[in-house]
Amino acid sequence: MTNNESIEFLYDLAKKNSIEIEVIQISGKSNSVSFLEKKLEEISIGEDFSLGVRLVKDQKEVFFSSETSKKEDLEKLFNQQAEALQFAKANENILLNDKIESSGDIEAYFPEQINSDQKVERTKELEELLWACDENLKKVRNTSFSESYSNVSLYNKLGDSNSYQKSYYSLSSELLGEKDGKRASGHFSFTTHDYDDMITNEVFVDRIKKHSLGLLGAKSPETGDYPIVFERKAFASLLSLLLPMLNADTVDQGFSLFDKKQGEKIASGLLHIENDPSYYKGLGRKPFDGEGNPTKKHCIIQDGVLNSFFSNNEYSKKLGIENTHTASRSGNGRVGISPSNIIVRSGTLATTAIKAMKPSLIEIVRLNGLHAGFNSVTGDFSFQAEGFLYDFGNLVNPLQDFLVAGNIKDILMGIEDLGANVIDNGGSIICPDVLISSLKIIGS
Amino acid sequence: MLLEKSLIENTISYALEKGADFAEIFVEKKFSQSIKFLDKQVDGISSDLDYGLGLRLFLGEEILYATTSRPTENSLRDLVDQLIYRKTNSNLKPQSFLAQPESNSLISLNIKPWDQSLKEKINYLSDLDSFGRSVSDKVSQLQLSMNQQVQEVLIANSEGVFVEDVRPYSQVIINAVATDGGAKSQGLERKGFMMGSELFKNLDAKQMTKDAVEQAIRLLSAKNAPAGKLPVILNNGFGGVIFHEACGHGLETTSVATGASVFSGKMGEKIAHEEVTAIDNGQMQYEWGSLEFDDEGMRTQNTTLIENGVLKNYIVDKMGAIKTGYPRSGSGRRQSYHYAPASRMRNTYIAPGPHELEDMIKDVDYGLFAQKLGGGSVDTGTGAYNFAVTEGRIIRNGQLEETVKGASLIGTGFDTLSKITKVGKDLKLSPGTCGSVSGWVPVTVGQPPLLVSEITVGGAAND
Repeated sequence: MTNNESIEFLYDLAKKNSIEIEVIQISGKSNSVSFLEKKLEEISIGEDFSLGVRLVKDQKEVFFSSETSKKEDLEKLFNQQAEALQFAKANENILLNDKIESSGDIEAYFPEQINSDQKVERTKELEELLWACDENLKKVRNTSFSESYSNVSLYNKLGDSNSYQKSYYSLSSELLGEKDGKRASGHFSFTTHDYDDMITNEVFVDRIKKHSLGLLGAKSPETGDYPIVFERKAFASLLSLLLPMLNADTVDQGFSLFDKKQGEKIASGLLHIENDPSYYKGLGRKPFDGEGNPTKKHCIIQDGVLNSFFSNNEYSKKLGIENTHTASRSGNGRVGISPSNIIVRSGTLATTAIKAMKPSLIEIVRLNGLHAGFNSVTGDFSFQAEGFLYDFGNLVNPLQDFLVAGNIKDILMGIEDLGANVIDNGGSIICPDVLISSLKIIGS
Repeated sequence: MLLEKSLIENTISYALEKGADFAEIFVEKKFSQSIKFLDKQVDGISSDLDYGLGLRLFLGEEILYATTSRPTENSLRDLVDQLIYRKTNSNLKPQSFLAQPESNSLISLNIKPWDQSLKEKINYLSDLDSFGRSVSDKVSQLQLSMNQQVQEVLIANSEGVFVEDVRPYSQVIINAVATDGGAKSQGLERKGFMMGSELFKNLDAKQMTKDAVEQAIRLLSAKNAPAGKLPVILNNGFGGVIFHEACGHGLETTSVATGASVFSGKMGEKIAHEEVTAIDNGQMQYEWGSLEFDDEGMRTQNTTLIENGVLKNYIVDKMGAIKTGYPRSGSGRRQSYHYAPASRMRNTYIAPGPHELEDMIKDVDYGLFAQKLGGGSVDTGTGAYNFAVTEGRIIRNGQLEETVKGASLIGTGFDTLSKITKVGKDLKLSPGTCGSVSGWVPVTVGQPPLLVSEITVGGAAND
């Protein structure tokens, strides 16, 4: 069956069984080239297709997804899940939209701006630049350029649909250096919707060097408490752990330490975070959320105070809070909660000026083991880190072989300043460098 | 059959005609079902069907890879044309397909996931929920998950391989949250095997639930873990994640072939304490990381990686063998057809040694017993690894004392291998999921208790 025939078939099945239905159809194409040891290593191309289906009857819901549009497969899955509806919990807060509203053009689709030969040439040129960038370089690994397109179509309970398209262009590589028998390595990638916004190969080389070869000659810091500057990308990775704890479903299920903290001060008054689905350079921008509500701005932390949690139809109704129109829905059809673009308000001083104010200040440029070293229920964390030691702004030496440990609440309340410059990181969390007054460092 | 044999033959022939040195087709159909129980009721019932094809071609050492979820004669020829867009020369002819190899019966699929009623599964989770809440009134939340998957694959290539395989996976996850006043903590238990629904009858899930609840309760009053370089005893079972992260990834030819791994060029050298023998075995019956055949169609092997401290073998896939010259070990794996295969671990563990755990504890004046371990990661270029301890005990004067909260441990693979001073007797295995270049794959980690003379412990305690 064609895509449209699959959708019609599913809606017919739903109608015959007196079941309400919503469908998300995600399709995409991708291609990439990668170089290794100055030779073309891999070319890949791919096509994706998935149908994510939500079935609702008598205020009960179940989900299924399929990567095939074969009639017999879809019918089998439908019948199986229709039968499962009887076992699902009754949930008076389930609400299916009868229209899909858009907040406007998101301008995230800029197709075919570079041809195959140009991709190969650009990646080859980048790898050559990387090989020549430093005398201590040992290996350049996985230098690749990828291009992908996605099309998201949401069909509501009436069968009406709306869709949006996105393009992605991405450059990535990894450097390994060795000096005096010690190694340092680092990976860097940059992704943008519009190829015109892609950083130049020279800027790419500068950025990746700091996070890899820049760490050569590193020492382990002495264990103790230090003022810490999280470089913006490291702070963005911390925020990616924090954000799910600000979702209404996580809070309601008892898995967030911010339960009952709405309206309370949970961070330094300097911290101001909002979700801006229309932010031009954010990769998360979209015109409507996973339930068909128009996306909109929402300030989640205002001058350190926690505002209304991120929510969707179900949890705004259940908890009696504002619907922030942040329903997420991936290809498997499940409805969750996720903001689009997280923007952290910048400060007034340049990061160099902030570093100059403190003796023995550690700048952390990378945190490793984020998935394992964080307890989302308690907020406790313990992460392997890499960075630099400064004394009143003067670089003392790079740092490796150490950990930073504490509780996420210590970080939020301990924010002492934020950098003035927000540089585009090619992601959906946009933030400046952040100074924390003191955190525990475990090293030598 | 997942795809007509003639279509596979025609595509492989066409790819060789166009100049490929090697052509491989991987077809996959995967049914998954997940049931979640939360707040004393069913929280979610979902099913997923994945289907697609991965076409891999070699041009010398160049890898060309394409995927589609709608394979037809025309679409596959079109993929070959897109991949080999420049003129190449190859006079190779595909070899005739060999007969399907015999099965070693590594799996059990007596009760297929869709043949067990939903009612029965939900009752199973409901009973566990009631039991878990009866263990303590401090249980504030229980999240129970029952995940099942049946992956059917067909792998064929221009060298005559034609293999079909069925891989069932069933898993139970218990996540308990305990609350006491303002304190909150979490306990997690997970078990999974290559079995159908018969697993649920054989598994002591009540004990798992009790363990998760008791862990959450112990951690309610736990102090912060200590900080600094300490002797550490890594408990058996999931403690094996240290070998997985610290060494295993660095032994995969994906890293070794580029010369970037710290273990490149070390074959035959002593790289660990002589008590250390490490195995990567793909042929363990029912184990989470087993495979009858790898994702390149080769029967998996029992591979000794390190024997009495000496490096004996790498973990080798097809391209790794071409690049390094080491023999394949049946280790080509991928999450799905979306990924080209790469060399990956299977069931990886350190073999049992001669020591009792009690004797190892007696050896430590002040240190950490890492009782429950979480996940981790490694930089194979530098060998620097990290992994999480989710629950520990302080060892003082050779005695186990108070429980402490989680902390990450860091080190480098070489350094830690050389600092393993005692290997215990009691080997245990634990299932996990490993992420790398070819996606997330099921693996088993394992070890007996290990005494490491010094690891950096990243606890938040101030003393």
